Amino acid sequence: MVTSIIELKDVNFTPEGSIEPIIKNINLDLYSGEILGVIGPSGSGKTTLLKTLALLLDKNLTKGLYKYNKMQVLPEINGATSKLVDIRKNLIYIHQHPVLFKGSVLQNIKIGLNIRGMDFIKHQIDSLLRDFRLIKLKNRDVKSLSGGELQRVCLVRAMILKPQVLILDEPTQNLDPSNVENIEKNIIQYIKSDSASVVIATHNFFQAQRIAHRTAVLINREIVEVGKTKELFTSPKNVITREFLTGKMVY
Amino acid sequence: MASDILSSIIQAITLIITLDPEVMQITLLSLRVSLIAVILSSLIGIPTGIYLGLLRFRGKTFLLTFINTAMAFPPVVMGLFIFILFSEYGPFGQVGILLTDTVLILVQFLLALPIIIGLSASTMANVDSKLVETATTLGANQKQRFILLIREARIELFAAAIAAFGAAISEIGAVQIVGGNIRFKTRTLTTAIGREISAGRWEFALALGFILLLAAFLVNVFLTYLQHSKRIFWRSD
Repeated sequence: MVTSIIELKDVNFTPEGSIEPIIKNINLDLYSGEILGVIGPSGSGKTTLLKTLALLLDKNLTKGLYKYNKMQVLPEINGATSKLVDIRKNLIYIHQHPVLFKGSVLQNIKIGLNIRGMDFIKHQIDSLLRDFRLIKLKNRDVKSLSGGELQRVCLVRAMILKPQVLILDEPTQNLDPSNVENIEKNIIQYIKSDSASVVIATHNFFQAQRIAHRTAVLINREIVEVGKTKELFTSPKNVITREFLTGKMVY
Repeated sequence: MASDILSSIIQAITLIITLDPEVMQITLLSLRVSLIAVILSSLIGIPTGIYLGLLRFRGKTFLLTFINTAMAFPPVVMGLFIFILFSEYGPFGQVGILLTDTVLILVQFLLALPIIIGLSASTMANVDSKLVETATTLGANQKQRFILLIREARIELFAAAIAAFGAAISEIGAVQIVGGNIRFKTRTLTTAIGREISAGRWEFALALGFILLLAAFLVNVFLTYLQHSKRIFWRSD
């Protein structure tokens, strides 16, 4: 039986100083062991949705219900702030454009381990670096890496911490097919070996069809349809989804 | 003129090699005063600037405007204020630090402080907000985020201290007013240069100028080494 890791019910996020929410009426479940694709036009709220899932946004500006492993996280129940920090450790978000700290590849990978007081297990780091074809770059300064290499370092830095949910914001945008293949292969491997879940926002319909078990369509700040990826692409139920997938929607 | 410069360089080298007691005393006093002033202003200014740059609070813009104005505060006016405050009949006259090296440190500290706060605040305000999110998503609490961001901005923060040192050691007007340019007591390289020029001893003034440049250069070499030293900030692999 599939269990829900994250449940969002009627979630809205309105940034400070704005009247209009960036995402609204979001109802979404993320199940254990699945890859959930999020597709939608630019500016539809994908990044905000992903940051909401990662609990990175201001909790006071986020309305609606957020549950993690059946436990209510938002709205906060009295004295639950420390719980929020602990829960956030199970959800790692990776930006669309790789964000790394100054230093070498290895130093960046160790940052998360240092923060959490976790031991460095050399063979685990090396194994992940090999999977991502980064082993030879281990001691290189991140300033000298290409975009694809940087994104792969971000993934290693996240995966070494074994989060229950990996939240990826267009991780393969502008990357060459070889990088895309490597990243997709490792994402699939990750959910298999660590019984984790992945949320991936993408503009690439083919990528969603290749790796996502289910896909959510976010249009004009709302989720218009969520379903099994194959069914959603072959016979979308919603007319807006159909127009978006067939390119009839101009945005 | 070229021969004057050459002769001054030779004289500067001679003064250094022979360890001329007066020149040594002036040089060491200048370095000691400026380094203490910059260390103290960094200890207060860098954390203040970091908080100002990162935190949001009411009145922040006003405070930043005040600090930016203070960065351009005319040193002579600063010297005058300190002189009045600490003169015999001033409110702090009892402290009795006027015409001592302590007041030189105080005046240079006050000149360096806004430079360090202003540059640190601007550095931290420009740190990419995505780095904060990345640190958060990796599990950092507020204190850990703070340390990570300081480490990220360390080169710029050191640059603030280096800029302040440059301003402090090259200061003459305020130092002249509060210190009085007393031989073997409050005479610094800059005030000594001013005095030698007034007395028409150009060669000696130029020689002291070269020594000032050399001292400033050596201190900056050391600070730049610290600025780029990875060992201070990273655990070894």
